[in-house]
Amino acid sequence: MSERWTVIRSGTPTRISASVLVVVGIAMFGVPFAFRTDIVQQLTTLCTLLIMAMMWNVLAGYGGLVSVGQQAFIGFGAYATIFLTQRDVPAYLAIVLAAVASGILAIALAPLLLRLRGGQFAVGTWVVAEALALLVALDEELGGGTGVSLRGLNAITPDWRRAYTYWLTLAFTLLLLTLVFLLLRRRSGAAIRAIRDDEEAAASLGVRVKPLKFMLFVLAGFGCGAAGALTLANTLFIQPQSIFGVQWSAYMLFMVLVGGIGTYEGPILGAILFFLLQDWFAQYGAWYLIGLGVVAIAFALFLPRGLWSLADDRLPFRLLPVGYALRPAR
Amino acid sequence: MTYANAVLQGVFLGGLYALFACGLSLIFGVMRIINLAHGDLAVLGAFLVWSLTTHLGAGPFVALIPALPVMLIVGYLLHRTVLARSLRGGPLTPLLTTFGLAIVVQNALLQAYSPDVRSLGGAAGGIATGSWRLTDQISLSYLGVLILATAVLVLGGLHLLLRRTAFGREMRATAQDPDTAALVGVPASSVYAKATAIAVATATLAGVFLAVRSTFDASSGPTQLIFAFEAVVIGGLGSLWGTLWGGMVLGVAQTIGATIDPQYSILAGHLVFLIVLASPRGRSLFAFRREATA
Amino acid sequence: MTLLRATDLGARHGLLNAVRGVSFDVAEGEILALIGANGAGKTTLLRTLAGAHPLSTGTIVYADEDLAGVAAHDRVRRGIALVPEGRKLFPEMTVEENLLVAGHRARPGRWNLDTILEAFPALRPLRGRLASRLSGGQQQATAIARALMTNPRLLLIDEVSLGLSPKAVEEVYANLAALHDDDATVVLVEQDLNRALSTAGRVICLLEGRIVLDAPTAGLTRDEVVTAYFGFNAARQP
Repeated sequence: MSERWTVIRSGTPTRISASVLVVVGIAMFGVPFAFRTDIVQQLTTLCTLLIMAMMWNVLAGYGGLVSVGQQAFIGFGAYATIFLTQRDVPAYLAIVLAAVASGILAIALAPLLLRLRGGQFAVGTWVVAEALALLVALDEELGGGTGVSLRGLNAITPDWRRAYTYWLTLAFTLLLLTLVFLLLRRRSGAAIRAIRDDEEAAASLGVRVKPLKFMLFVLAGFGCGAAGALTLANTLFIQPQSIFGVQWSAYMLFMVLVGGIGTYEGPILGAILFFLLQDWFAQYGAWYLIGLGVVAIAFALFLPRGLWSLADDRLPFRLLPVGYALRPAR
Repeated sequence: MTYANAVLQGVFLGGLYALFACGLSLIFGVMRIINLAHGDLAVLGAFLVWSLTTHLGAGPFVALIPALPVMLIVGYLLHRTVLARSLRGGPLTPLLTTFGLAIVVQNALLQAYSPDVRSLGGAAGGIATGSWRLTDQISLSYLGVLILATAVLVLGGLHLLLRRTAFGREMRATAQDPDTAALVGVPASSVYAKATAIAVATATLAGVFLAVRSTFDASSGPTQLIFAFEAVVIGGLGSLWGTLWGGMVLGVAQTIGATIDPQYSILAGHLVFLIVLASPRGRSLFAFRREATA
Repeated sequence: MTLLRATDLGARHGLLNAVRGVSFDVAEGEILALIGANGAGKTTLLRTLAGAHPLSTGTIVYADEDLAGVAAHDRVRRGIALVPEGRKLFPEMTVEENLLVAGHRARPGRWNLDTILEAFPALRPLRGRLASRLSGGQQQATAIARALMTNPRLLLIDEVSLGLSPKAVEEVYANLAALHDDDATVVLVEQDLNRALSTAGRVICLLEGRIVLDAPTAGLTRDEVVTAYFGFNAARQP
């Protein structure tokens, strides 16, 4: 019984699949040269959805923090971009700065909100989003309640504008995918898994829960701010009610629950699925949203690990080296 | 003088928020979950009463007589079908399912009743519009007094139920320690289902008062959930009478904000909530609850 | 007559097999002591009988009924009551409320609030006190009284004297003796071997989740018990 084991991060199949994914990610930069602009715009939408799903998963799946108020950061990112472009900051630079500003907003809000647990955190973040929406609506410079357009991109021809927006969105997507990947790979990954499984036990084992949650909250604030700013760059017009709307949280919840909460791959799968569903069924309005709600409840109750768990349990190897495996030592 | 009036109106508005909040507080107190569909269930109840008044020609308060038992059953079944299962799934699952439920209820109402804004004020007759004039600038509406009186009665009734009855003892025992409650013969799931039924019925009452007092539509629920939550937190989590004070503080904040500028009304409420959250009291509040639930 | 028959019980506690292949009978009216070192599986075993801990293997037949699938609160209605480890009173309820909540759905029987307060006179002045403000002995008395309020046929008591002063232990055992006049069946977990042997008619000793001794206390030498308890004869070790 004294077999020796070593801990490995990846086998050959995992290394191959991970390399393929990296190549695909880089190849995606070539899309604007090969496809029509409406496809480029669609892919931009998909990437922003993917960012949102990933960020919501970072909070709920890794930190155990269910937020119904991430639209606070989505809206803040979008309006920070408007604010900066009104002060003659180039639009694409403004988007990057707005994402950073959203991260700073998260740092400012963290002491207040991370004190809350469970449902209190969920509704507490929501109140912040509502308060921000009301504040923005009061500011006539930001268009008030009627909405505002993003200027400063007019100088660029529409095709190039869409391509630039797409590239920036893709860059943000890959950056955040990498950040989350590193988060799971480093020592923090094991701590995150421990918190996810049992926060009290993790704390009693010496996992420093608070700094980790802080880090996750700030990362999610940054990512959601970027997603909001990029949504603005993609649609060029926003209104406080819609960009600060709670429907974003509903979409994020759906994508993450259906894809697989607490997994790296799940939100990616969920975002793609949601994107397709949106395309096919959004015309049905309220019925479509009823369907989304029912599916989300069904997944929460009957398949809490999401669709990815079905694939993950059957695959003989992991697509990405984010876990640990035991192998007999030679 | 207008500020004195604002404070007075805010206190009465607080009665409405307390009525919204007590169901949320009850479910949180007994099951340790926040029901994110609470506001939408209140609006569902308001629509049920609206349907009854338009089809039967009855006033909204008469229509409550059949509507409340129906909503009690809705709450009971809601627990038996969705919540009971979600409680077994870990701490996050009830949040995810009740949020999903909120989306379903809201959009089902949208589909069934269109996005039109409605009011039960007309159907309620004189009570919705009448008032006592105290001075030139201060008047007390019949409805405001009725709502506050109802809130006090409901909270007092819940208090007596929890303190004085066998079922109340079972609820408190289950709230404090569900596993041990089972060991003395208390079936937690049945207690939870009844608590949910009561919460949904009080939400219906609040929804109808909202509909009589002003207007409502299919998407009114989330705002009411937020107000209810703010009242619960300002008043102190887990304290029934606290929700009355919490509701009043929120109501006064909103009416004073509205006196300065109507746009500031709701914002002022949010700010007071965030200040309470940031205050040392807010901090100790949550620290205390953590110990109590551990 | 056999009141309860446990066959091949197994139960996990986390990753640990806390109870493994345990079989025993409890006869109506007897007092059975469960002994064993810390971590031997006594608490887990009692909790499986009460339905508070899931079984991984085995069956429990109680009063000719298989208890598989019978929830803890339904077992209480069938007459099984557990005084849990750590007493687990409802801290924000008074002593009287703790008793009443257990009595609300009780089986018919001799115990009600009045008879309980007669049998536990020390509790009478404490009726209105919050359970969180009781001393250890008062808590244990309340916990036993609370279990009795359900009028059990089978009373399971975990850690009867743990953390109690000698005087409190005397009181609790005096209560137990009064109880046994009533022909109740009792399974108790007791760390104090002398207490266990003098109170119980039969003793079961667990070692690492298995039964290593199951015998009537009459005629049992202390040496035999100690050997079973430690898994070796401690007295003969150099």
